[in-house]
Amino acid sequence: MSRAASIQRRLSWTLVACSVLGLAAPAVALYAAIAWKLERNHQAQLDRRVIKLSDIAQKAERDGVDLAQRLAEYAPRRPGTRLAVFTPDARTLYADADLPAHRLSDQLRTRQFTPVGVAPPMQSLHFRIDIDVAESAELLRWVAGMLVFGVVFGSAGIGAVALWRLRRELLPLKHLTQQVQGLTPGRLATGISSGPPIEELQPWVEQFNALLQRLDQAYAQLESFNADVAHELRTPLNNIIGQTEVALSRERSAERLRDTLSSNLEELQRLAGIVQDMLFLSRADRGAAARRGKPVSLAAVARDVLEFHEAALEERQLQARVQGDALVAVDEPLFRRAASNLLSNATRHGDRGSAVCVHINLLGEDAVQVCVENVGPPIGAEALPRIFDRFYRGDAARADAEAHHGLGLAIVAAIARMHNGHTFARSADGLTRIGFSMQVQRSA
Amino acid sequence: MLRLLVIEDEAKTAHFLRQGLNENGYVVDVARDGEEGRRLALAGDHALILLDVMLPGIDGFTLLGEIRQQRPTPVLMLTAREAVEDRVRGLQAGADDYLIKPYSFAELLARIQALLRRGRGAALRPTKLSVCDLELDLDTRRVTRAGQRLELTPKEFKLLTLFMRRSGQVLSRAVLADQVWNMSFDSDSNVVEVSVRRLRAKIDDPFAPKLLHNVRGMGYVLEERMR
Repeated sequence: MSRAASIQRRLSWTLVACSVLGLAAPAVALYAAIAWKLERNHQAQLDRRVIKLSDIAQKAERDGVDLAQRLAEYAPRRPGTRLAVFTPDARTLYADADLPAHRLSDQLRTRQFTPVGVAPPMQSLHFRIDIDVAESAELLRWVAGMLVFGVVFGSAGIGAVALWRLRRELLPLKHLTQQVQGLTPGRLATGISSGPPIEELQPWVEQFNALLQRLDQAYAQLESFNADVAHELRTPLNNIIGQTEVALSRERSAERLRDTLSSNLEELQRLAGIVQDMLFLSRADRGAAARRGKPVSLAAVARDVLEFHEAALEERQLQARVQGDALVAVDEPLFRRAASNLLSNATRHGDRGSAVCVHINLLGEDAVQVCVENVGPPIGAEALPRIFDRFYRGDAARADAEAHHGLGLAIVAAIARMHNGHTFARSADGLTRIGFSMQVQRSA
Repeated sequence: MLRLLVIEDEAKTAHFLRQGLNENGYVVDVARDGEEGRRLALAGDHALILLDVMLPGIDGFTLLGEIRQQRPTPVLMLTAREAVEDRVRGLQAGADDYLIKPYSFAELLARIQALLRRGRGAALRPTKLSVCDLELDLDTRRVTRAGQRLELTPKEFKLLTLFMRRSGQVLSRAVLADQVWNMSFDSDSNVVEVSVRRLRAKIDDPFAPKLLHNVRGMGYVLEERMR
């Protein structure tokens, strides 16, 4: 149930704390400086009194006048102070009269001293002078009040301004949230914008928009893929439904019905094939990785696959061979499948009587490339990148749609991806090369 | 007659399995959920159990474990899930074989027969096979039809051996690709078809009666047909 952390709140509080500290420190220093200065003034005042009183004592001694009388004469000239003089046997020799000028508050500074530069009887006298510092204390209290007031209101002011400013600065985030809320599948590519670019937000906004782009593409792909699948399933389903209805519409001989069922079975097998391949592709899309076995000679495996295609190749009078080799740990069944699909493709499109070649090349240390080359009609530049798309069939339209359902090369691409590789296709000068690469795994 | 147990909750599947297996000479008990399946599996004396992985009540893997603890009856698992992990899990839990939906009935039948054969212990495999006047000698690798020697490539020989061993059984293209060429996936090409056609050109075309037949939508079968 804890509240989510808020940048705004945290920053504001941090700023307030900073300003309290930042304002309080000089305020305290200022207070201390003033207090120290006032205290020095008091002490200087006391020093002056001590000198003056010593002076009076010296003069009284020299002139042989009564000290108490002299002190009494001097008393009116020092209002706000109180003097008492004691003899060594603690008798009061002199004390100021109880006049308003000598009535002091309880804020006092006191100095006790013995006059200097005088002879023995007077030398043993004990002076005590008090000065009233209430005014200074009052001043100090006032300064403290002012300082506390300044610190509190200053900090509050800074906090308020910061909060207001932060609110304004963070406003674009609120706008972004609203924009994200407004995004719907179909309208992802419009992206979001923070209004005028903000240095801190811009990278985030750009990355988010890039992500939206990718999502949008994936979504579009998915949508068209779904449409393709539905379309692809529609033809066999149509055949099954149609011919079953026709067969059932009147009495048929067992022979005829068997025919219909057999034909249905063919269509159903086709559907099953499509479903299997789609499941395979979707597993690959979900990131299923190849289960690599021990290193095998790819040429040996390729020759094995060639043997599978031997009859089909011979039927089209195609000469097939394997060139190059590499010892690589691959998912062998998957590799066989990819090679087989490429060979089927080459068999279909190779010119009768020409040659088909399986090339296996190591690309540096990290990758191996496998491609099948055939002589045949060129593939247009605009079609070339699309041949690995699901259900893509070149211009040949549906001529051989029954024999294959246009997922062969998409499966090759999936197998390449499962081996961290990619596909490529080239078609020039009557030669077509279609293949894929796989990352070579270094044994740890 | 051998008694099989089918544990399958889907009515149509259970129905065609029962009918198909009956017609191939098996007595079939059907259990429609995990509880009933367990009761029948542990009580009855079945030669083999066909077990659907996804069942109401108890799931297939759990049920398999319970059967395994008490009975050595071979179990063939049927599933719509294709994940390799599932396959491994099923085999580890003690399933003897594993078929993924959609499977062809001919394939299922072949697997059942193989499992039942295995249960009886490996019989000595004959080295000489013959169907009608077609003869094949595994030791000398000689193939003759009506006494006439036929020249076959190694793969054609392997293909014919498979057909003759399982004479009368329909073999799908997938089974042929897997067993003869070790291509263990649904190939969308017609390569098997071409290979079978070429084999037929050698063993059947110059002779009568024809032995290697197409079965539309299912595959091929080698047998002598009385007609």
